[in-house]
Amino acid sequence: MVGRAWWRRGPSSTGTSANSCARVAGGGAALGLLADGARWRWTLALRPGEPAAAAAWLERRGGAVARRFEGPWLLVGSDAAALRSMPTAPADSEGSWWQPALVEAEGAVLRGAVDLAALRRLRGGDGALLAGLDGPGRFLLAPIAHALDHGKLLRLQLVAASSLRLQVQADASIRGAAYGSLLPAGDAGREVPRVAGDVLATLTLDRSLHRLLAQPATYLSPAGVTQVDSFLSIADGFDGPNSSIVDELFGRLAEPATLFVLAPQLPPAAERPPLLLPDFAACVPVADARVEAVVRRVLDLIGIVVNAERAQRRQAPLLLRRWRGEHGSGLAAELPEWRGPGAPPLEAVLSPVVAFGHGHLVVASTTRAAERVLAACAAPEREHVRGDLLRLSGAAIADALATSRDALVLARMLDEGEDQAGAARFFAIADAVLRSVQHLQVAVVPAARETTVTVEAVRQR
Amino acid sequence: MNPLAPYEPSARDPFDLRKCGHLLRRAGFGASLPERQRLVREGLAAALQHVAPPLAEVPAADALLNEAIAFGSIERVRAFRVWLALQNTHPLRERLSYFWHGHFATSNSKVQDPRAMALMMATFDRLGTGRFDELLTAMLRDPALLRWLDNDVNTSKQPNENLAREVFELFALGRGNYSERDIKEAARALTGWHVRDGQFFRAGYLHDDGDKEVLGVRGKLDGDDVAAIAAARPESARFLAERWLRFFVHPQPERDEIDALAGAYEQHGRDVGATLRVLLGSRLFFSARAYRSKIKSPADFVIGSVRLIGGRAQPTALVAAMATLGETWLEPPSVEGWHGELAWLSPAAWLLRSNFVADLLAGRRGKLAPRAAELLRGYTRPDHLARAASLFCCDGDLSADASERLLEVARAAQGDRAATVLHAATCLPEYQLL
Repeated sequence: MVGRAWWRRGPSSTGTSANSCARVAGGGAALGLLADGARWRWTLALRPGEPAAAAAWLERRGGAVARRFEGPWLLVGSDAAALRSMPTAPADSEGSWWQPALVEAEGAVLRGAVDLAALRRLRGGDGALLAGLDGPGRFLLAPIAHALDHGKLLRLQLVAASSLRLQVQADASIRGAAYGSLLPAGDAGREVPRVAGDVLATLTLDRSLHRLLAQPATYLSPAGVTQVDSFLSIADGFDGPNSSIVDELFGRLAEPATLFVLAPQLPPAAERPPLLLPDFAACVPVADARVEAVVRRVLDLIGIVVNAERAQRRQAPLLLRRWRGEHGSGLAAELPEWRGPGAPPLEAVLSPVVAFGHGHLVVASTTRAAERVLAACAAPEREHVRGDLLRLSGAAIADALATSRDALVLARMLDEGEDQAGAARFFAIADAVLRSVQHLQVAVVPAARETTVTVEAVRQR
Repeated sequence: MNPLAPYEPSARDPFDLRKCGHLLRRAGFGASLPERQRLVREGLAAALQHVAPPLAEVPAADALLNEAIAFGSIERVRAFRVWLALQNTHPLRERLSYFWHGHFATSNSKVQDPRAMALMMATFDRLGTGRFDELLTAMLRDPALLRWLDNDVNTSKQPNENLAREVFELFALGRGNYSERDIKEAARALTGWHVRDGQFFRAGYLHDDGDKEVLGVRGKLDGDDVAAIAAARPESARFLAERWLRFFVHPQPERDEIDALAGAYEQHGRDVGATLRVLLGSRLFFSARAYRSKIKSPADFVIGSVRLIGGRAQPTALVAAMATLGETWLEPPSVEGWHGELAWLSPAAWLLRSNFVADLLAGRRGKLAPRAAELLRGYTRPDHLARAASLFCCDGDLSADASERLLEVARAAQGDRAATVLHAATCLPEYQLL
């Protein structure tokens, strides 16, 4: 059997459909999917609220499905073979069918299990997912891909309480595998800065970029190794021929890296680009303060290269200047003042900055974002994060999209072929959906023996 | 006899679906069958009004320009241009912008500035149907063109003749109508016409403000003067008339046709829109010589196919299809633009055109709406299906042999029969002709 899902209770008793559900499966239902060559079979174990009504209901469906009663259970299969595959008499008639295979969280309304090994057999082998990912894909998704490649069972449960939480757990972990050495030892979690105010998204990634670049062959495909080598052949020259960018820059930074996407500051209408990007700021702990000098030298050189390229395109140079904020200092680049023609371009509001402060390196798209994140680094409040974490704030994202709505509507018209009204309707729906979600959080925790992905949506109240 | 004498429909020579389709393909990017049938019912005057309504009555083409350039991507700008062509709010304006893009052929491969390219196309939209001298003056101040033809390094100390040469040879006069001395003098007049911060900038300190003599006119001339002098020459009228005749009527226009159109151009105060209205309403335009005398460009084929079906599609996908067929807007192959006509066709191009329509109709790309089956709903008999496809794609004007082949396809079609028959119609030689 490839997958099973268990539904704990019938819906409320209001309305005809709900009443029917209660009669047929008022005590819960378990759905199974079986792969038989190219054909799929399904099974359904129901605990009817009213067995007689359920039997009559199925009777009306004629011979389309196979079925039999087992005590309080009504077992249904897409055909006789599917029905035969179902175990008889569940061990615990008071509990739910096939419960022993599942971990039940308090109040889980839906539980399921997927036979990963069977799925892999259908796909034709092990290790396919991780091997198929490119370098960035492996860096980001290796724990999940490895778990799907090596786990036997994937367990799911949906808990609807103050939030809607979907927890998916595979009985395999990347820890102990070669790629696991990119992760920190143990899964106790780490403290990361907590940025106050309108934060659209936060992504915390607990991986060692230094190890990946130092031993690319351990982690990447031959094509990925070539890409890393190509990058390093240039990057290693940034700080002179006798230094290693891998050891002296990346090796002096620690984990985890956290990316903050912050609400943009709205410029006056006349200076506002039709497409207004949010502010971005990435923050990494510094392990060795000597990295600051290396970063400054590298940036000076990159500034020269960028300005040479701009000059070739006959663009005014970026103005590079030392930047000093309340909580840190660094190097910032300013674009020349926009004089037209037309609306300001996307980059008109950017002031990219690389700064150090309070034991962190911050790379930000604007000095304002750098200041906010450096302030968070200075503050005593920290957020405890286990594994990788992505958190999105619905209303803040909706606000950010609203500032660029016309440009996004046109982009959808061009990309999807919709008319203006259709494209505008799409964003109106997206806006309503986003505003209904206070935040959405995706956490990936590779523990010693299992990998857990939790998706949690908290509704706006 | 005046080739530009107005075409007057009669019982023997009516304004029918065939002529209406011809007008809408040449003066726009085609139209759906219901639209064509409506215009046939309303008559020639209504059809001419449809392709060239007064500009004040249609929305400005650049209403969404700022949004189109917001992403800083040339692909988005291309898709925006395709979207405008699909919208068809002012068919002749869109068609003329396409013409002027080939005429003042400028490529982003060198300009490397999607904003400048978009603004150049917006200038064609704004001025393309007006007076040519005004358009030429604007173009000689256009940042994309100045950069493309190296005028942003044209200084009094080191004059660069590139722009001056193309103004005479490709934009305004044609070969044989100017001298090398005129080019050198015009290049001096254009010194200091530079670009700064993405805008035209008259760098006075780099401009040669001495006396020059261009095409017999003497004085302290600058770029505006060069444009005015060149556009006022009688040779310019004949040069442009030949270009328009090649583009709108026939790839090899006759001398008397060129003279007649040049005369109309002078007579209408060198107003492009007014001149072309005369041309589009003429017997010459609707003559047998003009009908299906040109080969569809990839833009005509791709955008025209969607317009003929009367549907919507993804502009970005259409841009990609056009590029596959050899036409990448905003990236012409050279300063001479696209050579067109027979250069568009090859065995490979034919297959690619066929594949594009097959994918479009099958929903594999372009997200065409409505789908073929919906379009030909109600046509079930093979002869009805074949007739409908002939009407949709070829105005019902097919040879007996082509009609018979279409009928055979309709009889043999299985599955999505509407898509199969429409696809077959677009593979006919007649469909490749404009």
